[in-house]
Amino acid sequence: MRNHRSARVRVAGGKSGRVAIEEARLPADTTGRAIAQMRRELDVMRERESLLKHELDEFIRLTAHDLHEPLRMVSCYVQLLERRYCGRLDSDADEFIQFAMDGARRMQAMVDGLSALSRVTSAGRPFRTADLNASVQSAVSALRPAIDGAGAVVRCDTLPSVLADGAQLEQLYHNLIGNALRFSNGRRPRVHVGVENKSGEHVFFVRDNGIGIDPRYAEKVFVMFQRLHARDEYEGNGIGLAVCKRIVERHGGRIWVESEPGKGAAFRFTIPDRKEGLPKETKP
Amino acid sequence: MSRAAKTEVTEVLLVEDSPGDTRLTLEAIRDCDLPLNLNVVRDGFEAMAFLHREGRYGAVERPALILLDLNLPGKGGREVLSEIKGDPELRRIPVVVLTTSQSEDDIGLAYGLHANCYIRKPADTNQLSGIVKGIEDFWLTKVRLPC
Repeated sequence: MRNHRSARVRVAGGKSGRVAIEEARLPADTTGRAIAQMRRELDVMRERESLLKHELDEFIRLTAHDLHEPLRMVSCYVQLLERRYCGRLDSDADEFIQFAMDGARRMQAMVDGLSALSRVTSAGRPFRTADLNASVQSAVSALRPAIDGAGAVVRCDTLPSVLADGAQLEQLYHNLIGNALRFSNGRRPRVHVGVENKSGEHVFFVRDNGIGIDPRYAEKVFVMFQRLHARDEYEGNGIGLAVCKRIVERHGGRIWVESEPGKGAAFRFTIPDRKEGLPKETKP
Repeated sequence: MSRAAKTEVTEVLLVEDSPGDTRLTLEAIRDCDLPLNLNVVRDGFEAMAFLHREGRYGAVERPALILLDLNLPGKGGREVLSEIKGDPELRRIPVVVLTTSQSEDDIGLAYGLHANCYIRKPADTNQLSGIVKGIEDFWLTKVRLPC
């Protein structure tokens, strides 16, 4: 939602009737000065936002990095305990070891997820002209065993080229198509990868015929570590879609999901087709 | 010297500051029943003293292989690597960089300094055993090293 302030800044284009009345009430130079002041404030806020984003990136990166070492020790030594002592102590001990193994495994998946998330910004490559068809093809090749295993049909329309980090778009399609295969509802998964043109903007989509998502959770699916299903029902570490969101946002686009339970889901995203004015990135 | 028979024990130098990691490597060698004698030093200074047979390392045998962690206190793994590969005698010894870093910069830097290979320490003991076995099988059995 646009707030009052940004709505006024948009006025600079002079496209709003309501604002035209405000302008009429004020002497021209006052309006000009007010708009310039707001622009300055907006710049300051944008600067602050990009700084905060950078700090968050650094925090995620360091957390993932620093947790990795002690966690590796815990995982490895619990595995050794299991390998050498399972069945040699008593049934309580065996059970405790299993719970510890399970916890270590889950935490490992989370730390790996955090690393993947931080790599979107820290290891991202500069934007070049990227053929989305190639990105989709690579993602599909990598997912081939899962696609064949599920007996899935993946239909890919012809896509345009965009200015982007091609490797990240491949990862984006990999995660979205992988997701479509995983939440398949026991039916033969049908996945459709395509693009629509809506009011001059490319809207890319990955649509499936799977279990769908309750619209109430449409935002929640993109949040780190959020899972809508029990661990033993559908596997996953709750990080794939968070990575997708980060990739799309790094490209200055938006991602969302349209779905109803039982009726499949359509993940849609935009990648602005820009010749100039790439989103500003703060690099460490 | 390349090993003539499987029963002979090969000297390997492990440069590693974490006791937890050292023990895991030892356990992996034990699990795979490999004929290796692991000499452990905990920092870069000790590593160089060992390789140059200085001080208390006067009587040690030169190792056939070096397992090198990059993150060491004091003299770091990169310095050790560059000193080994800058020394006409020592540079013949294969150096396997075994580290936790997955940064592309570290990988590039290690090969730039002539590391023989770069392996990321796994978080799984079965994988670690596989790696240790693989190193032994390739570098100390299949590969022919200079005398």
